[in-house]
Amino acid sequence: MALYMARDDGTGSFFPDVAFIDLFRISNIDTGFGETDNAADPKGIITTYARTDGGIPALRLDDLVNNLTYTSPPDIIVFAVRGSFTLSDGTAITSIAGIAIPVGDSLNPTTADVVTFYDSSECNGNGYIVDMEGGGHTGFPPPVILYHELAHCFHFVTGVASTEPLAEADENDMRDQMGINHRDASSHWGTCGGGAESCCVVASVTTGSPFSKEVNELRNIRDNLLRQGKVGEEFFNSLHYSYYAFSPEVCRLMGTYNYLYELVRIYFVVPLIMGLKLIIDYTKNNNDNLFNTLKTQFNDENINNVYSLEFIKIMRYYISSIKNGKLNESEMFSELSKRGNINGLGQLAEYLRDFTENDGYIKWALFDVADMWTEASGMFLSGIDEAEINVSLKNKFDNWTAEVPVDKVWAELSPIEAQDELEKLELLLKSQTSREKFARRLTASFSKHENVVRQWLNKK
Amino acid sequence: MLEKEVLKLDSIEEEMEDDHFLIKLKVSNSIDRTVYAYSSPRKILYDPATKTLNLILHDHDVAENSILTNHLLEPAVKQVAGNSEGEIKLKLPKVIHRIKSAAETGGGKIEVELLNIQDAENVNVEIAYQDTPFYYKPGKKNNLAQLKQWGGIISKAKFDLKKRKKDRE
Repeated sequence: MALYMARDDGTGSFFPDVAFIDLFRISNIDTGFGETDNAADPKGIITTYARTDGGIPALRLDDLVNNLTYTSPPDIIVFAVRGSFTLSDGTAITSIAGIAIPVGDSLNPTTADVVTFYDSSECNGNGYIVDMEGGGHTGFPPPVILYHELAHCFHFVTGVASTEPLAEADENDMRDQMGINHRDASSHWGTCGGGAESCCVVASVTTGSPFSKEVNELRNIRDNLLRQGKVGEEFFNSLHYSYYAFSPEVCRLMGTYNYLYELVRIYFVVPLIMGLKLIIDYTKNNNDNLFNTLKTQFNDENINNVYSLEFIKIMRYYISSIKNGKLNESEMFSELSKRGNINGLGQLAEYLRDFTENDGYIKWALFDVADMWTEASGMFLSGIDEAEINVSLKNKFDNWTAEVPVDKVWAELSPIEAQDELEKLELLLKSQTSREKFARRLTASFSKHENVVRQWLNKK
Repeated sequence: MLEKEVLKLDSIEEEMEDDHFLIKLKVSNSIDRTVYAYSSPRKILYDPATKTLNLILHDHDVAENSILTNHLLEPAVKQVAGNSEGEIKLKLPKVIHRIKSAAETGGGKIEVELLNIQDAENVNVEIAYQDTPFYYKPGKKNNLAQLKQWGGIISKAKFDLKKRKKDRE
């Protein structure tokens, strides 16, 4: 078995020099790595390796070049290509970044070799990105793409069932060598730089990037807290559907009134994230001392410098005007007017009021959370004592969690499934009061679950 | 989720730039929700004999057991606002480098076919879209299954570029 680099065939389709550089990087710049070009060999340029580096990627490369752990395997041919390349079925390389193809697959252009194609153009200069271990995104540069695909090749030639988690775990060895972030080996998500994952268009727009710290935090909350269990998943789908009916108009208003970008961020996006963090602390982390959590939030200068008591009062006024639809009728109107043209704020308030009146998901999951945090911050900045704030927040959160929209998915659940989902909801519904309140709402909509709900309420 | 076609592919223009050519596809959305459409081609197929270019902006042609299943990346997406028109710009190379299959070559030699797609006179476009953005669910179905489920509605259209090119000459 040999490891080849496909030779330039005169069509400008393959770039062996680039493949060599990427393989050389895999060897960790080991001068023992080389090549021999026999022009008569139709498969390409054969690699050679007298290894001196002891790193994991170098060991893997040594194995591939010198067949250390297996005998009589097929040859492997590496094709470094560019963004204009397609597989035989027309699949654009930019839609996959790279691929390793075993012998016998219809996409393999040979009949006896394992092949791998990888995009050395970095998606025509846009870069590829993948999910990062611990949350967020990280780059997927060509040597890492190649190493990932060579991991598949290694599995093919050694008879191991090649899976993405295995290749992604191997990929992290190369990432360690390059000193770059680990990929999340449980996620096969990736995209070309421009084709970003949609999480929250408003947060992306107001924070300047779909990969900003704020958007990553929302994404993390979405994936690790909301989408738990069937009810959680369906709740999220319903919220997602509602959100993407709601957000385009908000973005349009921001496009019309540029000053709204910053205002939406500080009035809604940041309070939403801070509020969700308080709720997570109360529910998932079982922390009853939310005063301390608020205090920690206000130790951050990004929060402390923006959210003064005076500004919180203006925010409270704006939020109450959304609730009652009367932006113009208040002594605060003149305060807002000082900030210049407030036509956009008025339109936004009206739109938010209409939407939250008609859509329980947006109101509960977004608006109420931002509202609760703003109110709590006002209490904190006013100097109200710790015990009073803790009691107030606990009561607010218990009331809020009990109002979680009851999704139609409950209709499909069997008694055992319903019981399982109710147990998952205990994370959110911490008090007996909130559970009883939610139970009443659930059985009012889905009386079939009365028995299960009664047993659930009585178990403690 | 959408249950029927709501995006109409109205017209196409092409522009030549130095190192690529641009296809501008005008579309119109007939519902009052924003629609999220694939805006990068997943497959590019060209028949030089008929000068027909097929731009496939969906993943429905990929077989369930394909080697590509978990390699498919999230596509670029274009938002088309509710009850409005939009433009999907496809930046394409002037020449595609398509590797021939073993069945075509007999498996003996690697061969690449250079396809001058800039010469296309007929363009067939197929675009998948949905009324919410795609979001990847880790640990759930594979990439292909998630993309097929999300991009369940496809609009198709055929365009004649020959007349436009003739008019320009």
